Amino acid sequence: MKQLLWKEWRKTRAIFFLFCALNLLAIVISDARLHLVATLVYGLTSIFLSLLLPAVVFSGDDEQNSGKFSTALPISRRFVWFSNLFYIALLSIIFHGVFYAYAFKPVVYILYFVLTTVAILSSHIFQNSLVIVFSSVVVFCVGAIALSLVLYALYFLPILTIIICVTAIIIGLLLLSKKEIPIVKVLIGLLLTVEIFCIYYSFQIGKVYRPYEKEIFEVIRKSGIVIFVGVGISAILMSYQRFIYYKSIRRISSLFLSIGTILICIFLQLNNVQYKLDYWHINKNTFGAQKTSHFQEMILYSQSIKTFDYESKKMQETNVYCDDFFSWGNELIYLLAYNIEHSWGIPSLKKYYVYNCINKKKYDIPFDPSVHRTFYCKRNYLLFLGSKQLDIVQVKDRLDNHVAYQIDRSLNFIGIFDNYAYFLNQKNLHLVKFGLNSKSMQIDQSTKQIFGAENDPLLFNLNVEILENRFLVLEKSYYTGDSIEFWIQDLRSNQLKKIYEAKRSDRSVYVLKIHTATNQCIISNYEQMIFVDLENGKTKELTGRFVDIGNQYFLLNTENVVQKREFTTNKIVYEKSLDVMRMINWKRKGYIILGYTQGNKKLYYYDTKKQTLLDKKLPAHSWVDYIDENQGVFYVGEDKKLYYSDRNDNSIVVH
Amino acid sequence: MSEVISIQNLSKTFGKKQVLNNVNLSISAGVVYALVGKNGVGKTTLLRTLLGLEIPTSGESKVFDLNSQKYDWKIRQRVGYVAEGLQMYEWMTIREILWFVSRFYPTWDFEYEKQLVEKFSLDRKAKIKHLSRGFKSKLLLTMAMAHRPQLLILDEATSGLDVAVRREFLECVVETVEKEGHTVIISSHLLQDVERIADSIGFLHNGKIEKTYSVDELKNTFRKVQVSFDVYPENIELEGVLHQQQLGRECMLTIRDYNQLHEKALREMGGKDIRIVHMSLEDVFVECLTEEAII
Repeated sequence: MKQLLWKEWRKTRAIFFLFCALNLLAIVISDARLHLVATLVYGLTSIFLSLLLPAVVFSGDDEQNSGKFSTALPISRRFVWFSNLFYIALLSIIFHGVFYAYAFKPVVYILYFVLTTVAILSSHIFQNSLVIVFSSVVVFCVGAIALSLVLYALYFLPILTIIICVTAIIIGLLLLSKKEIPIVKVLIGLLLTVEIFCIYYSFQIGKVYRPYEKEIFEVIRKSGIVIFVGVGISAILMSYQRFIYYKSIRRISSLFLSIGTILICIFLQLNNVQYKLDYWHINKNTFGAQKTSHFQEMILYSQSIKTFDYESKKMQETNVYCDDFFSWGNELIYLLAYNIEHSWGIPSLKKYYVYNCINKKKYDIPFDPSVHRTFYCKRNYLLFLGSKQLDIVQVKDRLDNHVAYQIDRSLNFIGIFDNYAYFLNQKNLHLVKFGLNSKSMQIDQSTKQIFGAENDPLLFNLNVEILENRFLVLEKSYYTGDSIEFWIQDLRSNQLKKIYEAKRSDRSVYVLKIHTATNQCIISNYEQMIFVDLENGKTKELTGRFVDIGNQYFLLNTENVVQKREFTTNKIVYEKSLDVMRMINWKRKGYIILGYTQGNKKLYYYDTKKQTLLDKKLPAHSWVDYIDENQGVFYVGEDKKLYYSDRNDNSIVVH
Repeated sequence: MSEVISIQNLSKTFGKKQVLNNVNLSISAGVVYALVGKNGVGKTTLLRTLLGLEIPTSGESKVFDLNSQKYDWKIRQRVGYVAEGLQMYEWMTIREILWFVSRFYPTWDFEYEKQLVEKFSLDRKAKIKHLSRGFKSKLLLTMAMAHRPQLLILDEATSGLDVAVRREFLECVVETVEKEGHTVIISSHLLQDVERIADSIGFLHNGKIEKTYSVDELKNTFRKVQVSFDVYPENIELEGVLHQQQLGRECMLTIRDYNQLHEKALREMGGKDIRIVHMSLEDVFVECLTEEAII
């Protein structure tokens, strides 16, 4: 058996090494375990190996016309068959033992063994010709997936679509002429090189622009299936007719490269790719533009920040690319921005920095922020919260006093009060505070009485937040019971009180707000508002849906009527009946969209700063992005363009 | 002498075509037996059936008293087999294929292998795909003989080789046969090769081997007679004439079992100059076997 195993190894080692090299390449270009690229390549090589290996082992001799020599050897055919089977199993175990130890995926294991079994049985049952057909289909289909990655990459290199398509057509024609022309080999080599480059390019893009990673799956799922089926059927037909009596693999790869590529290019051309721009308001006259190209469900985007110049009434590029905001407060200042560094024209590194929207200053971040899940801004502190690490920097002339603190991944950020960052440990429901100056973590025992004797996190859920920079609000709800308790701790005086107890079954969602001017707490749901005096605990109720709280007034909505009421007396200052209520609370932008009347197509919005209801004439189906202090409105029209409508309702296209 | 090969009522059909039809044959040990016949007559099928590589439709074949179907690989362990168009693994080197094949034969003689490799000037490092046809045949013969088989089967093994290589190849076979006393079955359409080494010859025709001749017997049985006439006779009627050809006033006759009576009859017909030409095996094959069922 030794020599039979050796023979099969000599025959198939190139495939084995090729797949190992592919997997190693995937590991090298992936930067983390179970990275998408690595997983993808493992999956492909796994399927490819499990189907190609039995095909080559069982039909390789016939392919090379050495079948008669093999059968003339003094050994029983049954023994040869078993040794082949043993070899396939052995090599597969070695291959998967190595790579799946690295990226453990039991599901792919199962898939692998199922496919291997099918391949082995098919190889045996159908003997030679159908095995070749079988393997050719697999070569085609797996290759189709690989080429769908080319498709993905071609989005970034559109000129290559044309070059590749023309090259593929030439190769296809030359191959179909059945002539052995040396230039064909050169062209195939060229095509293969370009396509491999495209795949590498797409991997790099995915690596640098994180959001693209998940899109790769979409491409495979959508376009891959189409090509899979199309090319697979062609493969069956062509394989059976043309490849059986030839050196099939060479022919298959040659023809597949050309035909598959042509299909992809045609697919690309026929596909109606729609580009559109979405805008999101950042701060005052600053907008983020989200460029999206829709390819079925695939969206590629790059965000660049633009500012609106009131003099020229046009958008201006800032060349700042943004991943995330730092603050959701009224005054958004910091953005987590990035630059892409290129090496030989290929994106190679995404470098993050912090961008101040007000003074337009850039601050280099002294660590890699891409591993953090959330970012917070408090005064001049920036908090980067990862699953294992908390990084805090202070913004001065540069990002100073960097603190890296190893944290338990169960810590959830609550807020900041008096140089302390508060976290809730979800495992044991301990309130933990981190001293921004002392740089130390300590457990806050002040809320202990909330839990009583039953501080078992399996019994109840706790939502904690800091409101009005002072009040720690705790919402305790039992998993099994029906009651919800609201507790408030004044962090200044350290006083803890149970404010209200409600039944979950009565109303679905409760929102708690604190009105510091009158020292009241407002608990609201869809139907009523409950005012609780923080001093004496007295409550009063009001029917209607809560919309906004100002210093003097609050806004209430009852059956398509908007009421503005005085806080102290609850008297109605005015009310307005609207045909369609949209009611979008964009307080961060300084206003609330309330709705509009159908008759005169006027949009009504509530300026939360001035606490006044204003109206604006806008075209139907327009989407308001931002309303500035001068009652100018930025809106996206039906044509997906960004418009600016000034105080006198004159609209112009700004982008 | 013990029987090495014994075939009884062996038949083989491919689809509707009957290739072998009740073949009976026995070959004794130490004999060099030539199997001769036209292309496609079933020589290769018969030899492959002996090795258990083809399943007969009916009948039985035995090699070393072992049933070919039942003990096929055991038989192959004791047989050296060289066939035309036997493609080896092109991607192997000579060293690799010799190592690979040697493991299947318990009687493999590495010293003898070395001698054969040197004799045939085979470069062990050379890849098989880079070998010429002649060297591939030499390599096949090396593999077939290095385990000192008791039976050597050469199935059109010298086809397509140039004269020098063919001679070298056959000399090696002859030498081995003389030294080792092997039994050899050679199937070839190159009858000068057969003539050189064969002891007996069987003609496979219409799926049957009617009779087995010794080479000398075959060569002495047939004569080519050249006769010149003053007046060419209207009709030459003689017993045993297989073929006649008129060349002006001369006549060329191929006659089986030529004797004095034939000469006398020719002279009575006016034959003047009668010359006897000895026929080679190839002449016999061409002149006699091209005629249907002559022998």
